[in-house]
Amino acid sequence: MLGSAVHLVVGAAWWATGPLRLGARLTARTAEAALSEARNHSHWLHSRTQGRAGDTRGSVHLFVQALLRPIIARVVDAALAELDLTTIVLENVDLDAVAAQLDVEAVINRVDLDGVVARVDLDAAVRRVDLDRIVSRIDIDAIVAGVDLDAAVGRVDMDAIIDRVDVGAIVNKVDVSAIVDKVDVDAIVGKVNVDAIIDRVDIDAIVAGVDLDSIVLRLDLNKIADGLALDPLVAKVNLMAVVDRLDIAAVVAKVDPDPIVAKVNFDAAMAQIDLIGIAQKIIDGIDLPGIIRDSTGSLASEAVHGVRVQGQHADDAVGQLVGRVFRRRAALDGSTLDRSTQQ
Amino acid sequence: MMPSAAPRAATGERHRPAGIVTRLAAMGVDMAVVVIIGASLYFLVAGARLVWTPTTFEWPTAPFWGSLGFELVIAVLYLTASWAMTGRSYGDSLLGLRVLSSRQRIPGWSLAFVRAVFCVLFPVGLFWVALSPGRRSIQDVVLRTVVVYDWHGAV
Repeated sequence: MLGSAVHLVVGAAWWATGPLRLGARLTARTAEAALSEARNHSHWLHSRTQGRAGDTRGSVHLFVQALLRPIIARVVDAALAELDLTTIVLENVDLDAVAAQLDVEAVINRVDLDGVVARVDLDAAVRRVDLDRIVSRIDIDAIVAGVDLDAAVGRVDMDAIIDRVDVGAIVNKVDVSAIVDKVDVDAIVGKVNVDAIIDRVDIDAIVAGVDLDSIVLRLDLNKIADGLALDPLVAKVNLMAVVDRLDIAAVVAKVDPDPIVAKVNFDAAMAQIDLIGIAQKIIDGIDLPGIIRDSTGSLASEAVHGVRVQGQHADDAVGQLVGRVFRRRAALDGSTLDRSTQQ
Repeated sequence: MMPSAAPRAATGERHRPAGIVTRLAAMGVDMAVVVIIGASLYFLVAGARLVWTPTTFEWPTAPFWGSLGFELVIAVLYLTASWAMTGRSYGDSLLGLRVLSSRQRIPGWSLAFVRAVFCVLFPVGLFWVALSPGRRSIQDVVLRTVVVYDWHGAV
């Protein structure tokens, strides 16, 4: 704006002094013609302008430089002092038409704005500005209402901003304790849908990414074991199921019984054992009375069998004796049973 | 004395008639059983009397003929039931004997009863077994029964 105003003023002044410059140019043409004629007739003038013969404009220029410039300068200064150029321009010049014909862009392009700005003492200018007053007159709400925040945010390169943010420095400045004291953690936790969060968590993927070996190596297992209440845990264990899954034979096969047996105090162990009770249970388990009965029955059967056999032998002996006494040919062994029963 | 022949199989379908020795042994066992049954009944009666009149208890007494008759009745009932139901008394079972009818079957109740009465009243008839070629007693001859070796199913 300042540059445009300067160019506008300069242009207006140039245009306003047009009649003066025209009069001066006519005067110069006339003086040039007179000087050229005088040079042709004057040897002194010719010698003073040696080397520039035939160049009327150069002669005039030299003439002006030598004689007329001081006069012209004084005349122009006196005229300008008398004239109120501003009033003349405002009353006689159609500034709008002039401005319409101005090629502002060309003018601006010719202006060395950097140089102009470099010469401006912006600090002093800013110090003179009443920024508070300016800010108080600004309707910030209206400005904000007119701003398309979505579009603005969409144009923001958040990644680049984040890359430039020194998160560490920010975090170091944060008073986390004060923030935590102000947070109602219970209320926050009460609003959290833990089930939904758990459903969205891929626990398998998390566990797969965990280096359990390094965690276990860092654990003080002895300290953890000392703090455990093992009795309730053991009470919940289905020991029978565990035992059923054990390969007892393989475990026992790995055990070297000799050193264990060598340490056993059999006398003390035997003193604590209810041998009578164990023997009673064994007798009950094997049904010793039944075994005795069976063995006794077996003996009785064998005895009865012997009596029967001996009885038959005795019968046959008696039969043969009687047959010999009565001189019977056939022995009385009952072989005539069929015949006799059929009679 | 010639050596006795080995007894033939006693569990076949056709059995040999039993001789006098085994049958006398069986009769002895049956007599013991009858005596035990009679004694048991005697002590049972005595116990009942002790419970019923403990203050005036006395051992029951009976005349000889009464007691003998009582024992004979017990013997008849015992032999009848044994022969009719299984074909053998306890003595027969112990010696591996069985009483069969003329049809080689277990005698019926009537035949068993008649044979039991006959045996109890005329026990001497048993000795005819030693003289009989078919090892039959007088009772067997009269009632056409036979006593054979039969160890199958015996005690």
